[in-house]
Amino acid sequence: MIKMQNVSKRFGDKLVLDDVNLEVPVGRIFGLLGPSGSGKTTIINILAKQIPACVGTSSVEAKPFEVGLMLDDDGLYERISVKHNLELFARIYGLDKTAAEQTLRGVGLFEERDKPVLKLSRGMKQRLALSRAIVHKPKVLFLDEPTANLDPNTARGIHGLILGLRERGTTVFLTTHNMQEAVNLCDEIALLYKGKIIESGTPEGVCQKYNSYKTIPDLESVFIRLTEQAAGGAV
Amino acid sequence: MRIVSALFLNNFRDLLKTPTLLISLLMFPAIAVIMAMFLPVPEYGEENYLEGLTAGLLAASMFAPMFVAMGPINTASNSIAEDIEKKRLRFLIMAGVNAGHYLAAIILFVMATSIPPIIVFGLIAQLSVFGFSVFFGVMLVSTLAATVLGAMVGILSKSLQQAGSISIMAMMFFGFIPMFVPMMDIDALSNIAQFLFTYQLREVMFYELVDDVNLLRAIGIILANFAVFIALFAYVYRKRGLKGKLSEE
Ligand SMILES: Nc1ncnc2c1ncn2[C@@H]1O[C@H](COP(=O)(O)OP(=O)(O)OP(=O)(O)O)[C@@H](O)[C@H]1O
Ligand SMILES: [Mg+2]
Repeated sequence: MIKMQNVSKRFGDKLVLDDVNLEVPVGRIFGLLGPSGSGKTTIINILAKQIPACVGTSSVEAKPFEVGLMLDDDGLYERISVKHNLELFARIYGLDKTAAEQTLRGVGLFEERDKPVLKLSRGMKQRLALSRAIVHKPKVLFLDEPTANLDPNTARGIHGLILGLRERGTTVFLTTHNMQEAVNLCDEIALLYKGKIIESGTPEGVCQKYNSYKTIPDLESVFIRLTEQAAGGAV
Repeated sequence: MRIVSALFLNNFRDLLKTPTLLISLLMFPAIAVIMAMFLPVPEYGEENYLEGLTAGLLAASMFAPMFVAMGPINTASNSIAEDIEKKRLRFLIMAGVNAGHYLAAIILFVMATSIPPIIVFGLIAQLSVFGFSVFFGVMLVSTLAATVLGAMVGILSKSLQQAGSISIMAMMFFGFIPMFVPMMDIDALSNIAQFLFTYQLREVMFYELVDDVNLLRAIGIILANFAVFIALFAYVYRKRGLKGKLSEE
């Protein structure tokens, strides 16, 4: 289980997170939505213990090496090959030799295994970063915009992968700007606006609450309506 | 052990793909070997004549100290600064790597890459077995000292570029002073120089030819340098740490 209670975070005198409460049950895919700068990455960083919160508590029910993390700063070794990048982590985790290979096949990078990271496209790098996050089959996985900049086919492949991880009982916490992704993939979502959670629930539930007259869940218009409301209310 | 060797192997893989670092490791032994063939040695009756002096010893005594000041400082500071700049440490830490593993892998890596050049210098200097053993020992300690210094530079730097410029200053200071002091007659400079480990390395190499070299004093100064660097490193590490770089604050 992932839990955040009354978390606030300041950078300097800027309040970036304002009393955030979250709960993600084991084995669920949780999607955090919000405009750019709303604090999504900051929440992932706090949950993954990369930075401390100023106020409040957060907990993740997993040992440190049972957590996988993918951020937009990929931290890859550019000059080294795809395979060797992943092998480093497989060795650190003490996995056997096939683990890295299997994971690369899973994300569709096996063909590129001997290329240095320098020569990869953005989407390929992203998949390599993802493979590093999942090579040890973590119990909890944090993904910061896992499908940003990816073409629809690759994005769908990654969705398949994430769904597969859920089958194995992995809890996935992801952020996204893509409403369709949130609807298709996530069991639960929360909308973050200027550091505050303004709505949460299942994607269907949230959609129905605000545009129940529509048959197709339209999270995007709900998102825009809610953020505009919040912006209006804040003035 | 598993983690250290994984990191160690990765450092090697990266080195093979980093020509600038490779060159900084190979350049000095290569130049020394070439100089050993062509360097003129003062002959009997000439100024600076030294009985038993060979071109090889002269070349090795010039370039071994420069190598120690350059290779390890550069390699260690570069590796650490790049890992920090590219934000790699957070992923390593998430995977269970701690600062001890990380630093051990860097130190082992720098030592491993420095030993072949050290042997080259020792061989062209044509020292006696005793002389070679002492030389090898003090070179190992000096390499370790320089690595610690380089690691400190790496931790202190905000970017790879900054690490590069600080390293160059350290390399100038420790590498060039010992080389120029014997050529120039500046008291102030030789007063400073004699407390540098790189200068004392030269002294150790001449121990068998020159009567007034005090071997124990030279070794003592090298060890003292090492101790000072460790103390400095410990101070910087306490203040800045490797982890502090992760919080982005
Ligand atoms: N290290 C930092 N120092 C100062 N301010 C920061 C720092 N990290 C983030 N911020 C600020 O915190 C706010 C939230 O940033 P965050 O990266 O969490 O947003 P985000 O929701 O992930 O945005 P995006 O969708 O663009 O990735 C922004 O205003 C940002 O400028
Ligand atoms: Mg972000």
